[in-house]
Amino acid sequence: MEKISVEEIYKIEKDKLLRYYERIENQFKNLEEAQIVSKFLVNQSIGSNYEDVYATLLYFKKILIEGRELIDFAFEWIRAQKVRLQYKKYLSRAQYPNNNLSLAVDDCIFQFFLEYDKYIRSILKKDTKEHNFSALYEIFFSPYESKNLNIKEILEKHIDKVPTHFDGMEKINTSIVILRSGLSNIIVKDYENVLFARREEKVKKELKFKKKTTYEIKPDTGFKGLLIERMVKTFCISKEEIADKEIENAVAQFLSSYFKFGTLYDFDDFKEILIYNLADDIYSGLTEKLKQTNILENIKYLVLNVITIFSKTITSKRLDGMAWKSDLIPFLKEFIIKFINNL
Amino acid sequence: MKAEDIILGLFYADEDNLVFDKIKFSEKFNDMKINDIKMLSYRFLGPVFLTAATGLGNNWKIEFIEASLSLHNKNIEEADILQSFFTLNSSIETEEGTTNLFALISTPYTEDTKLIYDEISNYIHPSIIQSKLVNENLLGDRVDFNRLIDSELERGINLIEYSLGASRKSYWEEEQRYYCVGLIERKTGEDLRVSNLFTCNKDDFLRKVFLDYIPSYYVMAILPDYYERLISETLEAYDKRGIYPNIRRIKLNYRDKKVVYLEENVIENGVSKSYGVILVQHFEETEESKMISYYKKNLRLLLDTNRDLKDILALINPHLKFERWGAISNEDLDKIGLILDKRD
Repeated sequence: MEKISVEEIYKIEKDKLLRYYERIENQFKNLEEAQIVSKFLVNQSIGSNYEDVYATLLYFKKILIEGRELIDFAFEWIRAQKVRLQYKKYLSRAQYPNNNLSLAVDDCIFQFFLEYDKYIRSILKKDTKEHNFSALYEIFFSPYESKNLNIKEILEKHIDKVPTHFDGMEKINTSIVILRSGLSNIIVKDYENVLFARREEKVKKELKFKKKTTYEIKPDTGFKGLLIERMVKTFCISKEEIADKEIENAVAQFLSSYFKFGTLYDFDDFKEILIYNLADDIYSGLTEKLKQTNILENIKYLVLNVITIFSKTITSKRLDGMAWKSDLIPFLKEFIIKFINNL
Repeated sequence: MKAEDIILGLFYADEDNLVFDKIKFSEKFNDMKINDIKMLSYRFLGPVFLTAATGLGNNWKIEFIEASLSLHNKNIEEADILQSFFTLNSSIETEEGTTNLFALISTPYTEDTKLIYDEISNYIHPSIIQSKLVNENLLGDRVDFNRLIDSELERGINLIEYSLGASRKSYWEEEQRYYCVGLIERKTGEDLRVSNLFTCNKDDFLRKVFLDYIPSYYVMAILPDYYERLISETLEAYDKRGIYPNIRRIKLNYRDKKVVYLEENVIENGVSKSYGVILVQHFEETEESKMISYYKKNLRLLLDTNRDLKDILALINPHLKFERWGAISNEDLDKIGLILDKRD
């Protein structure tokens, strides 16, 4: 028994798609091939926008093996969505211990992309530089709704990260490094979304249960920094710089989860809760390895220092929730920037 | 699964035979026990280098060893925790030399060994080599290889642990036909250790033909006993008492050649009695080539119905002679080396 090929596992309706492509071709006879294929793909909801798809097609046209046309490449782009669908189904059921993100990356690459990589390499020229593959994976497997996929920018990002190695004239196989480079961020973000959705679901269920069993809903007793935890997690895995604005938003969300507009709060009432919750959220976002060097108690101590400095600047110990929020944001934002930079 | 419920180790030997390991064990173990466990990497990897180290014959690799576990003392509560015991080894040859990634696994489930072998040989092992190469190229002398390999092994062991518990599937390899070149009879008890090899006559031209398809008669004769004892010591090192291993299968390969050693056993009055067949794959297919299940059935007949060994030998391969070659004492083993392994 032979291994089932990628084409068989992720079947696409080539005949039907080809008929549709021919219709577009007949409609726009004055356009060049790449323009027609771009229209065809965009109409199939593939790619972030027409310009990006067109630029990607023009770039990869040069490195397709002899005998392969742009429409073949387009079919692979469509097939990639089938792979993504199956992979996301799998990921939505996955339960990685301690939400280990490296494990999520390794497991998904092994389960879905290792064979796919061999397959996709068979349609591109043998001497194709490796960063083209990691860039291609980013384009093929990113969720299109969330960002623009500009081929030039993506190639620039990958060119220094994944050099091509040769042994004499032969290219050395570094496919796993390439797959990790192209797909790690995508898998991490997808899995974080799964975790986020699960948490939301859990909260919804709990709320539903509480509504059924009690007449009075108790107010939240703590700060919940889902975005902070998620941001730290992403940084630990990808090591990519996080924009200040993103950190500020995460801090704002953390504070909003507790402080309500129009309610007065005493500093001494929330000080301990804030220190405990912020340290806990940051700690939860760390990888197992980093948890060994940044123990929870140390993080609590660091947050305590920040809050002590903050307490020296306040004039009133009883303020409205919104006022506390706007006063605390710059202090906590600066602290998180420093903390992440030191990881 | 908790660390104390399983035995899971990943050992990597680089081109210079430098060994790195990542082993899961209970936090309750003391330093002495941990040291014993740490030594397992060298002891299990040793025979992997066996044929290379002796410089004799081709560089055969031990790819898979599987043992079944028998319960000897029914009063021991934790004894039924472990069900599977196996090792897997992936070898990759490059111009710089050969690297080996060896996994030692024992769990409470009947594991899908093929899935784990694919993970090791297609993902974890290549990722170590590739990461080393890419990082060396990007960072030059600044690469901390120990840390890099350690981190890859950590990722690898997590991946293996995550896939544990997937039930075993039947694979197409089981359907292939094999030719039997020898049979090993073993008896192990408290004060008893017997091991005999049966193959064709020393003057039969087939003896030399067989030799091209196996590492050597010597290596084949010592492997089951060596590994059975090593696995027994491993179980002891992990405090898994009351269970005893019986070798079931050993797979070796050299380029496109494959050897499967298949063993069945029975325990009678405290004595473990086993018979195993040495099967080769890339032998010209003849009437004597049979599927694994055929050999298994005949080995069971030998053990369960007291069928005559002579008859079974004639049945599985008429060229095999009813002549015992002792395989325990050094003297006997030397005899196998001198006579059966002689090529000219």
